[in-house]
Amino acid sequence: MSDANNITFTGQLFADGLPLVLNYQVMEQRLKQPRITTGQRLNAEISLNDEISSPIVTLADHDDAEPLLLEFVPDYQGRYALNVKTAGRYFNWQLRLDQSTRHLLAAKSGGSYFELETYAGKLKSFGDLPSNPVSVALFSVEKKMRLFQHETKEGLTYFLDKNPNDTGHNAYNPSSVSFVLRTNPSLLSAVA
Amino acid sequence: MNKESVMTIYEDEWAFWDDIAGKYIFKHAGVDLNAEIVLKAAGYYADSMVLERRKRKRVKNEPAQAADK
Repeated sequence: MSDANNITFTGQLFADGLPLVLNYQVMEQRLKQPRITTGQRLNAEISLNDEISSPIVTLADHDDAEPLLLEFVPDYQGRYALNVKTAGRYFNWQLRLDQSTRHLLAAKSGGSYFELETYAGKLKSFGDLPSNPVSVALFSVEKKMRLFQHETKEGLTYFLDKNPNDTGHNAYNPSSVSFVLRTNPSLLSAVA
Repeated sequence: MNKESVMTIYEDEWAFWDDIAGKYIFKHAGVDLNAEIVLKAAGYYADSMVLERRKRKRVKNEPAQAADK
């Protein structure tokens, strides 16, 4: 790992000023709120124990929620695999785009590859990051497409590498999500 | 809109709830509308705003900074 192009780093992602987290973290936070209606409690408990919905990558309810800690492992040619490093149920799981729904979620194996794109173009290595934090787009290698953000009717925000516009009308085509990447400062100094 | 769901309002939320329900009724009540629709809508708005309000976190101001100046 001494090769400068192959530096693994950790960081957190934000979108719309909210940290990216796993859905089960959102549900845990909701259950901790002292004032919660029975309906809200039941919904949160269902999602928390649902193996499909709880590893979905979503946005936190509140801007001071603890963001998901991600490890960015370079493959080659600027491709990165993203591993979950937040302690808990999904520690060391990999971020993956589901093969049928194309939703971004944590999976035990078979993680997808992403490219990080800044205003200066595709990121070749960690040292190319122009600033910290930095605006990035996540580019899905499989679909050669930047990630979009969408929301279910129930209010679950999710990310996907497929056009979520199912109306067929191009006026509703979305623009890709602009993420903010904040890399871990302790690793920054280790590199220097 | 739920038909008959009634949520618990905490004591310190009552004034807020009343304010929203009252203002809604004041604005929308009239002779040409079914009163029950207005009543239900007022409750719905007030309930929803209480839920929305609970999502916010409240931070107290730093106490007595002016005192040492």
